[in-house]
Amino acid sequence: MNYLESLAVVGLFIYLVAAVSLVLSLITPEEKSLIIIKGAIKNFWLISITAGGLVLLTSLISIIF
Amino acid sequence: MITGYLLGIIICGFIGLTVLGSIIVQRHKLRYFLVTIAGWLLPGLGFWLIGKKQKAIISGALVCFTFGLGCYLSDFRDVRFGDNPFYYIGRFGSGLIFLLTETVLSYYPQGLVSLKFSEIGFLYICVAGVLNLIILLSVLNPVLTTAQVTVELDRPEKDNWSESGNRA
Repeated sequence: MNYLESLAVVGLFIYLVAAVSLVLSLITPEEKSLIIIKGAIKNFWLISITAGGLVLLTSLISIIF
Repeated sequence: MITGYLLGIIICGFIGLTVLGSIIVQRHKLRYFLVTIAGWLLPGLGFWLIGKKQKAIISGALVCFTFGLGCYLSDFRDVRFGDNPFYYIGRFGSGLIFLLTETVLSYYPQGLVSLKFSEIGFLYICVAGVLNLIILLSVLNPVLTTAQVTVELDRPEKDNWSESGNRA
């Protein structure tokens, strides 16, 4: 993969995380758009941090064992 | 052959669970069962039928766009059970996605996109199906809320009765 393709893959994963966080924000009983968007942004960071942590943990485990 | 059996088991299991869930939660009300089936068939239709049109448009557009992007990235190929069981089962989350991938898409590459992106495309299709399942659970959520409210409304009467019984 060249540089542009790698960038596209990263962008696609960011879109995927954003889509999941938006749906997770939509399933709350809240009706106001602003609160849904705020929830989506919060979910986005939470998912990103969790995914990053899991990747680090997996890398550490694979290095140790 | 095995794929056909698996397909039948998954569809029967989904319909059975939906019927069971609607019976337990809503005491034999057919409406919620139909809403769930409609939401499964077309992403966002469940929200539309319960009156949340804004959420219906956003969720439907999001799931359909993710699915469309997944189809494009996978070069309009369908995933087989042998290729990846997780991606294969994930498609069953939405009726539309399942029907389109089974009938329209072929197993042969069209040559539009590089095969390097096919795994990402399958992941997108799978995620679109799973997101639709999450949306379906949300459609059933107001039902649960209604059931809880009914139970809470029943409680004070019982408490008053027990209090009056104690006083007597």
